[in-house]
Amino acid sequence: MLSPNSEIFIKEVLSYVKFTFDRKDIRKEFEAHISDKIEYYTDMGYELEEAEQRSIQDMGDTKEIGTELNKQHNPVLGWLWRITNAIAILLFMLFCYIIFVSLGLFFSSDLLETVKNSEIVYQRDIDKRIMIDDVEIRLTNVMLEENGDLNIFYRYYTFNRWGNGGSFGYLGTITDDQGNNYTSLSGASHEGIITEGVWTITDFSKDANTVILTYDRYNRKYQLEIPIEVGGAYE
Amino acid sequence: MSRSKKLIRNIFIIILLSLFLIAWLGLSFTPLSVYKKVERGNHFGPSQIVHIEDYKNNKFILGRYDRWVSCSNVRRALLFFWAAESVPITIENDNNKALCYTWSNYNPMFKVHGVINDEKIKKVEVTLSNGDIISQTEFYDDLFLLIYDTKIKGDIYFDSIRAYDGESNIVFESEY
Repeated sequence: MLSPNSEIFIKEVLSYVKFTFDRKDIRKEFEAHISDKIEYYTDMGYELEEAEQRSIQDMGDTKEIGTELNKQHNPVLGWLWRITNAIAILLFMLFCYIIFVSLGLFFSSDLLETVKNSEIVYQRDIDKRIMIDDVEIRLTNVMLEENGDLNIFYRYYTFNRWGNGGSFGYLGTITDDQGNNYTSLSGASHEGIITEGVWTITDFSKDANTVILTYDRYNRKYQLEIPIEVGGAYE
Repeated sequence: MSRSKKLIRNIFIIILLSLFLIAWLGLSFTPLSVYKKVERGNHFGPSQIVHIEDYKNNKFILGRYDRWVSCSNVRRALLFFWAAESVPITIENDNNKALCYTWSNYNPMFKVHGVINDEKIKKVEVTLSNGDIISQTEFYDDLFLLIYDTKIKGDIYFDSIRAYDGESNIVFESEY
């Protein structure tokens, strides 16, 4: 605890520092300096009051020190620093939020697990890739359910999700090797930088062994055949 | 680290994070850049731009890609940027028809656009569900675009379209 004289000295110096946010740190620094000096003089044999007086005198002229400190702690620079700090923190929080949302699929339920094991007639990992413009869609799994729903699981990476469309809801024409045409299609997905989803074709034919996806839209074309090896299990 | 160095570091971080957010939000510095991104994102185009219509803070961009005609809507966002307001609304041209058209209603903008195949057509007229009529007589090459601000008159839908020749004879007519 400093004496009133030291307090007055520090207050006078601080009154010249316009950037008030820095005053606390400057005060601490002065308190430490003055304490060290007092210790020095008391070690030399001076009385405490005399030691304090000498310490304050050693510090110099309050106006001179205050003016110099004000230059060093430029308020414009100080404010810019604080404002950019706040903006950077805000942007970083937004960045973290986006990353968290984008990677949300890792925390959300696995689409594969939404179907009970007892309802699965056939399931197989696949590795089929579709390239449309700059998006590569990877078909990862195919699953046939007892009720005739055929699920095709997919994954793709895209960055410009918001505002630019880009979701992949249209599969193309869906047929099978028996010549059946499927128009009833539904889907679900966890969307983000990594999007995982499932297309579900309802009432898939019991006689079909292959599902055929044919995309022909705006001069983009592909055809994919996915074998469904059900055998006798789907009887 | 000195305060000026910290300031430079902060500015660098802000620029970096801003660029990430701008890209993530699908914002661009120019309307054409957004337009291209939207087309690519929707696996369409690239279109040749025929006409750009300014309306309030929006730009309606009429384009042609192979046998398709499209209209995309981009708008000003966050003062300095441009963002997509809608996906490209496309129509495949059928040369056997005097006029091919489509309409869309992205609140608060209702728009009808299409392509005129019959050179006799001098006027395109659209009647809306509230009875209002919007028309166009000066086309952009063979394309037309009609915009109606539903914010002013409430929610409306397409009712019918008519195309007239120079003597006001109906050349094409279609109802919803």
